[in-house]
Amino acid sequence: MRGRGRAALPYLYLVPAFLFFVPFVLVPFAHTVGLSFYDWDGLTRASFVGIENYREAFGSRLVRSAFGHALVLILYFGVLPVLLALPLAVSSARTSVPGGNALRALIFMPQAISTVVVGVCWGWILALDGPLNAAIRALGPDWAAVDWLGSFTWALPSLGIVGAWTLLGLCVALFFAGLQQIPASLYDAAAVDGANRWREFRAVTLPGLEGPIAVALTVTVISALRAFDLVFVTTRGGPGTETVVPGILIYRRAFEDGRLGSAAAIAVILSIVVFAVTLLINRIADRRAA
Amino acid sequence: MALTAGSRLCSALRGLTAVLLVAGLSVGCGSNGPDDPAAEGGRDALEVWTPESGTRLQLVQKRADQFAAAHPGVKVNFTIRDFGSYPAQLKLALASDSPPDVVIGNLGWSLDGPLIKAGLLRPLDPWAARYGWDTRFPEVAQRQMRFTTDGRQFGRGAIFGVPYAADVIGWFYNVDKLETLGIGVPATLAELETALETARRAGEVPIMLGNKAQWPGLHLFYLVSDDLASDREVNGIVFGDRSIKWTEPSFVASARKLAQWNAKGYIAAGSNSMSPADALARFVRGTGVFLPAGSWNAAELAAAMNDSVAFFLTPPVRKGESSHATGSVGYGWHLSAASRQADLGAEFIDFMTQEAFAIQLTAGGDISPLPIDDAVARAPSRLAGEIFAAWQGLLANGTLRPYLDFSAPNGAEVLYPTMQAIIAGHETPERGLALIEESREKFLDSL
Repeated sequence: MRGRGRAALPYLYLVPAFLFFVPFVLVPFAHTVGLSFYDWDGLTRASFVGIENYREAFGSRLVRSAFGHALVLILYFGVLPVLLALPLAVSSARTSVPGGNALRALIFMPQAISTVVVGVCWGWILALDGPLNAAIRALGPDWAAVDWLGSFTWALPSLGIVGAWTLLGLCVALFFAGLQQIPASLYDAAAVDGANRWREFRAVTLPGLEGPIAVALTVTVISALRAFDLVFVTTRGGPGTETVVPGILIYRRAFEDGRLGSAAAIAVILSIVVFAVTLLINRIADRRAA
Repeated sequence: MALTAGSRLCSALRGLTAVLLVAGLSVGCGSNGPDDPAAEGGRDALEVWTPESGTRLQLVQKRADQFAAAHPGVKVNFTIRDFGSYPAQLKLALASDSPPDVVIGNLGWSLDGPLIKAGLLRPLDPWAARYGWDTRFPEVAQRQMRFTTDGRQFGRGAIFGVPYAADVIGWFYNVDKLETLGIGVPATLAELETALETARRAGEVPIMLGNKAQWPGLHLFYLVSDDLASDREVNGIVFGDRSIKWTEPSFVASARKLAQWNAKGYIAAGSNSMSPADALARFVRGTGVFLPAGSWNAAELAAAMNDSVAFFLTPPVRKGESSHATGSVGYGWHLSAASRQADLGAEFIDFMTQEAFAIQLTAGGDISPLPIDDAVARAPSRLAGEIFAAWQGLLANGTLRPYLDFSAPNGAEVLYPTMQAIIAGHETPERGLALIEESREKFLDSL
């Protein structure tokens, strides 16, 4: 009796989390998956259409390009902040300058600001008559000014840079915390072995930061894939369809067009992509750690 | 090992099934306990839903108070929701166990169509004959309120809504700038294009447009297609005639003209990232000679610019012909299918759409679907007076055209962005309009 009780104990610990997880995550997700096999306008009787919504999604240029844009955003939201945050964190951890903590807090601040505020501010900065273009005009010819968020070429990269700016602070904070975990003895050993700064970074710092890098990539890549608020505030998917991302399509189809089945199918595909990408990142991190 | 994992999975699945069942049961229980409106003794309370705001809302509520005063024992309860979230909330309310009695809808497929298809609205024909709704409004206005009872065809069938307010797209212009540039109000499309060129040469922004929202570009398109396309073509697109397509030469020519205007520098630089409100603010502050926009902006413009702003409908191709313009009779009053006081609701609808309300609306600077004598209606500003006169002309001539985006509900996904790409020269008119037509046909197939 006692033995069985002890075996059940771990599950008992899971109960509180499970109580939240089931009604707020699992049930809605199961509902969404179910919905994705129906043609439903939210009002009339839903009709079962099998995999038709998925067929439409995979066959649609717009849906494919939305996922393409999300992949581009991964580079800006994920890869770029991680690449920039590494030297920032390493150099700031090594040297102690007066006001260093305040500086780190400043870099982290975008993460604490609501995305809507970020979007409105950057919309102003990037406008044709905004400060960025004022600087460009001051330094170069007038024609070099660009309507960043209204340009068919530059809108998506501009959004990407805004996202990178937002997430950079998070990456720096994660890496800075990770650096504190690396035993000083490893650096001493590297110094004794005569390693230069680069060797030391390759042999000690980078391996020590693999965990934080995996966490940073997971968080940033997910935020790139599910980007909605920033796009909705700054471009609404435009100009044309240049910045349409899956989140925008899901929102429009579900809440504006009354195509809930189709929206659900895109949501399911997006969830699967998110699962797959996070799994991949963590697999790679685990394998390297092992 | 495998067995253990398998049985663990099994028991986990059993647990999940149990949880799902419980969740399903509780949802089922929830829907078994409706509030019974009759039990509240609220038989004489009329539940009314509206997305209106500002002056229109005040006028609607004032008129409803007059209705209540004329009907002792009747109470009108308003539920007001913001325009953006209104459609989703109204759908839920009408499909709930205690639906409202009288609601304002929205034309075409965006809201009315799905509600009618779901059987949530009541055909108004029995009351239309009694109150004269079928003759009160001009035919051009009526067609926008008709749907077949299966909700599959727009523009024909039963009367489902009764209109009370209206809107029209045209050109606002800066009176002082036009004077400085030495141009008169354009009387033909060619004169308008000459005016745009003159304005550009003088270093002015000829057309102020905030196209970040993507639909304003389509409103600009109307100001050309109203001239180049025929009634038959426009009505064909809107009311689901498959023999008419977006790729008609007249639509292609209209789209090409906009792309040319943009290439020539007539449209404000940076319009793709400018919100409509931003464009309006710039126009008020003196940037832009012409502002293509809807009549609903009139009150704000008149308040900010007094008599230095005026309005004209897009001028015809040949001098002296009557102007065609895109507009609508707003959204109508509807009766919910489940209302237990349909007769009272219909009486309310009639009261809210009579000439007396049209006169109140005009005095508030708005326009109404009723042709009314300007002797009885006093517009509050010169601008409102111009719009009123232009609108009355459209009703009298029968040259009002429905919005092309009534043709399908998914304008935001294909129609608006594609039109934006065409104007920007990022997509050719032919290919872009073919894409738009493809999505329209897909929608018609789905009906």
